[in-house]
Amino acid sequence: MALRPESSVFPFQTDTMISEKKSIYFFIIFLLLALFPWIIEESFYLEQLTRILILGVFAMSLDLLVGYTGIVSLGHAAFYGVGAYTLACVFQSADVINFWYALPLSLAASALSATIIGWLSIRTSGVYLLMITLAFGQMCYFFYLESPYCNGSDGILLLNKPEILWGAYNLLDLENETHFYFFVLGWFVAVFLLLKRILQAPFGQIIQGICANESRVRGLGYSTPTYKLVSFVIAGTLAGLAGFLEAAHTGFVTPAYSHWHQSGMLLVILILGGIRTLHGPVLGAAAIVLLEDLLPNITDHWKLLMGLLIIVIVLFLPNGTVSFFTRIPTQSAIQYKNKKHE
Amino acid sequence: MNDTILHADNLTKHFGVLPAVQNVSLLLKRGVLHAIIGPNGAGKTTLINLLSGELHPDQGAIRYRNKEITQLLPDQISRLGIGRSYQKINIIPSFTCFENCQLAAQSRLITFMGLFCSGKQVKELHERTEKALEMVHLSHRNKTAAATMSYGEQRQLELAMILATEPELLLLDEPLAGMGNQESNQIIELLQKLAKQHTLLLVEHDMDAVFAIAQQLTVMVNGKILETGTSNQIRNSDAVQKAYLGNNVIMKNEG
Ligand SMILES: Nc1ncnc2c1ncn2[C@@H]1O[C@H](COP(=O)(O)OP(=O)(O)OP(=O)(O)O)[C@@H](O)[C@H]1O
Ligand SMILES: [Mg+2]
Repeated sequence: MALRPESSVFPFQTDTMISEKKSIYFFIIFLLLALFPWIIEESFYLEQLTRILILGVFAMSLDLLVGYTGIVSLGHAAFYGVGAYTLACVFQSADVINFWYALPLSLAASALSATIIGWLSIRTSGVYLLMITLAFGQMCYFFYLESPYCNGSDGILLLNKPEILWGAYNLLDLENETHFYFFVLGWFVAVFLLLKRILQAPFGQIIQGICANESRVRGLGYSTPTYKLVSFVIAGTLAGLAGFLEAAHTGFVTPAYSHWHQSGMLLVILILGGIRTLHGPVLGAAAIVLLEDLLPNITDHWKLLMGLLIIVIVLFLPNGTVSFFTRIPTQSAIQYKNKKHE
Repeated sequence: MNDTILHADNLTKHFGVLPAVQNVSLLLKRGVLHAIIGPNGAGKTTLINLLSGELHPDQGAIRYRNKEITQLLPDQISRLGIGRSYQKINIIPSFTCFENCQLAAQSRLITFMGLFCSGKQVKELHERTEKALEMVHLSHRNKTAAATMSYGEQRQLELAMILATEPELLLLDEPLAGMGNQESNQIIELLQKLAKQHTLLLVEHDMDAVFAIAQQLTVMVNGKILETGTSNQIRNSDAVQKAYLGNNVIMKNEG
C-alpha cells in the first residue's frame, strides 16, 4: 500500500480510556456544529459549513475504501454523480420532490452501480485498480455528458428542494438555509457514527486486516473479495448520499460531479486531512473549502499557491493535518514524563 | 481411530520448468503427528501451499475427509478445518497481538459479514482468543503491537492464530525456526499436547525435535519423496542416509 504512512504502527484504537476521551471531544464538536447557526449568524459561513459537511461525508466514504480497506479508487466520484443524477433526472420536472422516495432511490442507484463497478474492479490491485476505477468514473462522466436524459454539459437545474413530509406536516423546510444545514448535519453525524460503528465491528477489523495482509486474512478463512466488495458498496452508497445532498443543496447537477478531477481532489483531501481516521478527511474537506475561498483574495494564481501548500503539508505532516493535532499532546506528554523522572 | 484424514495423490507442481513437487503422495492418518523433513529447496513449503490451497497442483488430487479439495481456495480450505502456519512470519504487524488472534477466532463466528455481532458472540470471541493465546503462553502480550514483539513471540502468535480457528488438521511450516531454546521447548511440548486431539503435518529442520515427537516421517529431496516410515525405519534407511542425514545426526539421535 503506497499510501500507508510508515510511521503509523499503532493505528488502531484499543485503549478504551483514550477512545472515551475522544468521544467526549467528538460530542463537543457535534454540539458546537449544532449551535453554529446561533453562534455565527452570517449566512455565508453557514453555507460554507454546509459544503464542508457534505464534502466531509464524501471524503469519509472514500476513506473507508482507501484508508481502511486498501482499495485506492480514482473513480469514487462516479457514485457521487449517480446519487445526484438520480435525484435530478427523476425529479427534474416534478412539482414536488418527495424526500422519502428521492433519497432511497438515489441510495439504491448508487449501491447498485457500486456493486457492479466494485465487482469488476476489486479483482485487480495497484496501478490496474487505479486505472479501472478511473475508467469507470470517466464512463459515468461521459454518460452524463452524452445521455439524452441528462441535458449534456448544461446539466440539470432543480427548481425545488426535496420536501420531508410527515403526514401533512413538513418536518424540515429545506428552502430555509438553517433547516438545510441541520438536515446535512444530521446526515453527517449519522454517517460518522455509522462508519465508526462499522470500523469497530468485526467487519472493520477484517477489512483493516485485508488492507495490511490480504493473503493472510484469506488463509484464516475469510472470503476476502466479498469483504472488499461490501466495503466498496458501503463506500459507494455513502458517496451517493453525498451526491444527493450536494444536488439538493445547489439545485444544480452537471457531469462535473463525476469528472475524475473530483475523484482526484477527494484523494488530495484524504491525504491532506489524514488517511485512516474519520475526522481527518473532514478536516481535509474543511481545509480545501476554506482555501478555495481565501486564496483567490490573495492572488490570481491561487491554484499555484494551493498546490504549494499541499506539497508543504504532505512533506511536513506525512500523516495529514490531523497529525498536527495529535503530535502536540504527545510531545508535551513526553516532556511531562521527562520532568517527572528528573 | 486410524483412518485417513487427508490423501494427497500424485501431486506435481512446476515453477516454470523447475519441478518443485513431483509425484508426491501423502497419506495422513487421523490423530497422527506426521513430519516432513528434507534439505533446503526440497519442496516442503510448496507441498504445504498445495495442501492449503495457496497453490494448485499441475497434476494430482487432494482429498480431505473423502472430499475432493484440489481446486478449492485458501479460505474455503481453512473453513473445512485445515489450518496452516507460514515459514516466513505472516501476521498483521499493525494489529496488537490480541487483535491478530481475535481476527483468526472471528473467522469461525457466524455473523452477517461481521457487521452485526451479538454481545454473547463478542464474549465467546474473547474467550476463544484468550484460550488460544494462553496455549502458546502469550497472554501477557495482549496489548503489544505484533510488529514490536520478538521473533519467537511472533512465531508463537502465528500458532495461536491457527489454534483460534479451531482446525482439525494443522499444517505447520517450521514452527521452531529461529526460536530460542526455552521457547522451542515450550512449543514442542505444545505440539505434543496438540497431537493428542489434532492431526499434525509438521515440516521441521530441528532433527532432535522431529525424531522425538513424530510418529510418521516423510523425507523429501528435490521435490520427490525418498522414504516414508516411522522414525526407526527412516533412521535405518540407506537411501535416506546417503541423500540427506549425516551419520552424526543419526548417532546423536540414537545416543
Ligand atoms: N513462487 C515460486 N516461484 C518460483 N520458484 C519457487 C517458488 N516457490 C518455491 N520455488 C522453488 O521451488 C523449490 C522448492 O521450494 P520450497 O520453498 O518448497 O522448498 P523447502 O523445502 O520449503 O525449502 P526450505 O527448507 O528452504 O524452506 C525451490 O527450488 C524454490 O526455489
Ligand atoms: Mg520451506
